[in-house]
Amino acid sequence: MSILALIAQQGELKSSALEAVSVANQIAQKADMQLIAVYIGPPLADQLKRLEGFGIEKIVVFESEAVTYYQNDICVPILQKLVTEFDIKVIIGSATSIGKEVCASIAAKLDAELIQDCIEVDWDDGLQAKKPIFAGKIISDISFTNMPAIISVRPNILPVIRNREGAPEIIKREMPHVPHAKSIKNIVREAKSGVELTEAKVIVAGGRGIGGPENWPVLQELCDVMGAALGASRSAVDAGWIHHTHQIGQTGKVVSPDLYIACGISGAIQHQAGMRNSKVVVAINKDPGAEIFSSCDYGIVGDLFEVVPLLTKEMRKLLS
Amino acid sequence: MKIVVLIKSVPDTASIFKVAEDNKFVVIGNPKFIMSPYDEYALEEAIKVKESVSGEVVVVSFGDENALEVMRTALAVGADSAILVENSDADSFTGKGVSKVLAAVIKTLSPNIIFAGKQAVDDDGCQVPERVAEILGISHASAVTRFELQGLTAEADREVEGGYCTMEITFPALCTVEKGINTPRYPTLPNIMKAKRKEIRKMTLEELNLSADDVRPGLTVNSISLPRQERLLKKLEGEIGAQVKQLTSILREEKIGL
Amino acid sequence: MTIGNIIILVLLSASLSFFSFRLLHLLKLIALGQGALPLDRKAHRIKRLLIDGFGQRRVLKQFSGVGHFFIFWGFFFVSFGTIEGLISSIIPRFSFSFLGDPFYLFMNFGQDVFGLFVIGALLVSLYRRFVIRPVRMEGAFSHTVDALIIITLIFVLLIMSYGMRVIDPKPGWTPVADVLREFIFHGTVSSTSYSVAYASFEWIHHSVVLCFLIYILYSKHTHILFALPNIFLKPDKPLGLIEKLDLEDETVEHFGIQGITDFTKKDLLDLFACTECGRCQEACPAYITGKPLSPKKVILNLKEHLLEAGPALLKKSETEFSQPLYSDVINKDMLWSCTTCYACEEACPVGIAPMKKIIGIRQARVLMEGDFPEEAQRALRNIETQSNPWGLPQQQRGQWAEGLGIKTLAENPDVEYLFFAGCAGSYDQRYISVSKAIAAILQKAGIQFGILGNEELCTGDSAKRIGNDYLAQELAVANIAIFNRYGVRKIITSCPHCFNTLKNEYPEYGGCFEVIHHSDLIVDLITSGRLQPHSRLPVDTKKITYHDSCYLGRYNQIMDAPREVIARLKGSKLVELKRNRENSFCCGAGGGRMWMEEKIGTAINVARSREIIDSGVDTVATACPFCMNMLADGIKQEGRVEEIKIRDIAEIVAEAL
Ligand SMILES: Cc1cc2nc3c(=O)[nH]c(=O)nc-3n(C[C@H](O)[C@H](O)[C@H](O)COP(=O)(O)OP(=O)(O)OC[C@H]3O[C@@H](n4cnc5c(N)ncnc54)[C@H](O)[C@@H]3O)c2cc1C
Ligand code: SF4
Ligand code: SF4
Repeated sequence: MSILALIAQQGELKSSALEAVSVANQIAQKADMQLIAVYIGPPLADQLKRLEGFGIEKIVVFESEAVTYYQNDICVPILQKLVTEFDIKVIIGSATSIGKEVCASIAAKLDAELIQDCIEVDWDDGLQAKKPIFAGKIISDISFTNMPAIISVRPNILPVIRNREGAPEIIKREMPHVPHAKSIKNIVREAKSGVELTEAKVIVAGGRGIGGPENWPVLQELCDVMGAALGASRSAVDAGWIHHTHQIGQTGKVVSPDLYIACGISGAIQHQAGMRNSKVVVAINKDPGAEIFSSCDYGIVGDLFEVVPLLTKEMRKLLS
Repeated sequence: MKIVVLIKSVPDTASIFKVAEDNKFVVIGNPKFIMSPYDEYALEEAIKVKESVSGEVVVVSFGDENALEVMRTALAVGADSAILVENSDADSFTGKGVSKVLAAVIKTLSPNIIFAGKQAVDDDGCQVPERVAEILGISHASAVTRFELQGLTAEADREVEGGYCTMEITFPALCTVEKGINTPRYPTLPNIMKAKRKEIRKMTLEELNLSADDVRPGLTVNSISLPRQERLLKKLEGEIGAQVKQLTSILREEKIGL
Repeated sequence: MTIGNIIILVLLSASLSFFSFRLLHLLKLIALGQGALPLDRKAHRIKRLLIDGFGQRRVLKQFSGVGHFFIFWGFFFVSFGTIEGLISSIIPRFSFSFLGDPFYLFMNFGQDVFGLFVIGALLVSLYRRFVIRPVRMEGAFSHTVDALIIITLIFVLLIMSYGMRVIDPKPGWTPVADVLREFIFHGTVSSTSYSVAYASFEWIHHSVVLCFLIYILYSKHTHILFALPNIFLKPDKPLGLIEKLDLEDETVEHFGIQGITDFTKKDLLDLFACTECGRCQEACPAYITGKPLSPKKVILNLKEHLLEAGPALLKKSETEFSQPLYSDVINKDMLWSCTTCYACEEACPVGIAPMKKIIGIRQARVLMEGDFPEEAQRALRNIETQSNPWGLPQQQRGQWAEGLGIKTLAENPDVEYLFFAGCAGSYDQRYISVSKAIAAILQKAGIQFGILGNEELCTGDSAKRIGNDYLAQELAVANIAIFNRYGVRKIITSCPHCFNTLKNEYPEYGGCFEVIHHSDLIVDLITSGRLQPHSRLPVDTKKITYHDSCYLGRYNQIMDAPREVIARLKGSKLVELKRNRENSFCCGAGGGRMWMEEKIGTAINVARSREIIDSGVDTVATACPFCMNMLADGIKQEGRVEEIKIRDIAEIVAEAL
């Protein structure tokens, strides 16, 4: 019986993969199973070394420059074979856009249950996971009653833990040739700075309290540290301090980030209409009576020019 | 061109929940059921494709009778026909079971394209469409942000970590769509009226030759918790520096936005 | 009969045939419209005709209207003489003297005196049109030519008739002619010696009259004929009522106004009654702040379209569709710029309704095409799912009242009043404080009231005025069912939009309630002594003004109550804004504009806020959540938050309790 960790990545090992591997390791230890990992994609070269310390016994590697992208047409049959070959009972991947697609595909092929986007995974005589539903309003604690069991873990939530000795055995295999229906034409990579407001996980927004367009850098720096998108209230837009595309609210964009940090925004209802779906709202405002304090999760009463730079500093410490 | 759209009826995202005795959640008040927002984008994309070439759009859903209203909305927006596999216990099905049900229906339709939302906003399951495609043995692409028909193939963009990629898709294929791919239209009154008179085809699991075993869930819910139904309204206290530290440690502990 | 008589007769018949032919054509065009012309409540209509028509009430609101008043009455008297003259040219010695002396003599006097006034007024109007050039008069070059032709014709006509009267005095006192005669001929004239002059005057006079008859119906001066009927036929319904569409009728193929023939007959009559005076445009907040909408232009574009498309339409069978109005005749920005402030209809001297036409076209855009501004779609979707424009949870609608000791009707239906908090009063933190103030006032005055809490639904005002009558009707029916379930009879509202809808539109669905706006209620409570504010404005309020909400003031004539509330408090110095009461300037939020971006021109709320700032007040009192929000934003944008406070009158009173 073994656990399979999916390294669903594109020529570069990202922390999301390592987090999934960490979870797999933890479960393998608790369930007393061997841990197998699989990588399919362009050559990783010496990056494979970074997979040491997770107690992975074997890494099966299918490398090919031709497969410029992790395609389910190619990888699902491969995974299916591995499942029988190694008697896989649990598959753990990471819940990136691609990772989720792969997990869903293999789950269908194996007729197995799948829980995507888990924020906690445990083994207690069977696999268990916690998963947010209804955009995080509800957390559901679920057990698998059947095997194989498949989960994907939400990126950037769980720690990367290397707690085992020894290097994995690397098994290189030939990439099978699959005539695929879905062919990839090209990959375009975008710079990180242009996070779309509507898709951003974190938004730092500024209002009239910013005082003028010359002060955006104060917020931008926090955005850069947190990988956040910059938003604005209509007041800031109307004053001509920032373009309308940044406006959040009734007549601007409707956003639903995990974290919304409102700086110098009074929290008028027309603004709230655009950010009410944010999971957690942090308000920084110097007026203790500002409306935003009656609809935020955490409020700091203070001058944003003092608070935001401090927050940026703390965040930088935390994230490095 | 035959296009199938998978849609799901979900409680409106502004609903407020509480925990019931049997560890299920319930919506407070009279919940309003809406089409899962990502499905709206999927439907709109399907109608756009239909309008650019001739064809028909069939919406398919699995759910209880609450789904009927949402199916009517889909018809009003521009779907040509609707099939609801009705089951009063639909909520207890997992992605595994639901995808089998939907695949069984779609098999009878043999569409060229299937569109679906990238996730349903109630259970955030993120798997049913891809599973359906795998069961049907057709290719699929998830979280598509642009879809353009080019003769017998289509070109689509999808998000990947740190960017996006463009793919060429040959049919039959399934695409799940990301928000922002289009702007869903507002239904017109004549279409709303027509939709009221259109028949929604109802099917049962038996008709689809699915046994209880086929769709038996392999998961059980141990408990649910409602961490955030309303805003916490917590004003931090102390020196500004201390407040900021407090905030960062909360964000770290609760893994918010990191 | 002399040759002359016969020629006149022939010419007159020709001219009258032309006139009738054209008139018939225009009437046929008007008949292309839907429905019948309203003729109910005749007494009331006649009264309105006397005041607004003959009394020229709305014309006289502006100083320039005095000129028109004289032209109008001059025209009335002069026509009397003209007809008499024409007939006497055919039947010699004909005169209206058989109508009896005092009357006949009075008419002669009128002609004589008003003729002079008209000449004066014409000169002034020439001066205004060509030297002062008010914006509202601006129009195509052809309009100016048109005006010039008409003015010249009337001018010549009057000079000629004076000429004739100087030579051949009419019975009665005709001071102007007498003075002229005295001045030119030093006394009496022998009419025989001047018969050639008299005849030429007469011929010129008659030719002008005949030309005038032909010309009038081809010019913008169709209003001379249609204005009075239009005033008479003006719908006699509450101003704030947008009549519900019959959505159940299976035979109706489309809803709202798509083509020109979808309008009612009265709507089409409007087009010919328009005097192009531009009063509506001058009052229109959209126009004033640089939007492409002008109510006058709406009417003129429609008129032009009807005249152009009309002949073809008359040929086609009735069922055939007329060309769509949207985009060519009324474009997107015109359509969606309207705040439904009602200023245009209030200003119009002849009872024309530009706003209702705009809403009709909106209805077609929304119901038939689903084509309207995206932000507005968002608001309507939110109303559909959570029954408030922001999409906040329906389950939290009643949360504002928690801990205030207010019961819902579900908890206690045995109360006198329902306090309908409205969407803003339930969700907008700023306006919740007004809801609380009203609740406090009611509690203090010992009024038995309850709220609906989470059962309350949006009244549907925005949906209605954006054009989604379907949604508005659903909401109305649902709300009324809830009211009836609790046996509600009296409703207090804080929002003028809720007020207007509940009061003026719900009766169409059988929901007849006594609806009271909080300003009226507070005045009543103070007058009856149930409420005794310790009669002081807050110390920091030295100069206060009141901004009229369109839906309260112009729509429902509630203008005194809010002012009285303020006047009752000692230390108050109420300053009126430049535009106030029925001439008040919109805040920019009505007609669903609250849910849309304002991208063209100056923001209306900023324009109004500037007026407030210029008035030098430190406090603006409002009685509407939208006004409050809009003005707060405008004042913020102008950087005067520190200096100018915005308070609802209820807050001011609650504080003084
Ligand atoms: C039709 C319409 C549509 C609208 N649509 C939108 C919309 O889509 N989005 C939107 O945002 N708004 C919208 N609004 C405007 C909305 O009503 C508010 O006016 C706006 O959101 C207020 O913006 P603000 O909070 O930045 O400014 P303000 O209300 O002026 O608030 C500024 C806040 O900053 C605080 N502050 C000042 N200096 C500092 C400092 N140094 N440190 C910390 N705090 C400080 C102040 O205490 C204050 O609370 C709309 C309004 C209308 C009428
Ligand atoms: S209702 Fe107001 S905004 Fe609309 S056209 Fe008339 S004056 Fe202009
Ligand atoms: S609609 Fe009325 S106010 Fe406007 S130009 Fe015509 S007559 Fe004048």
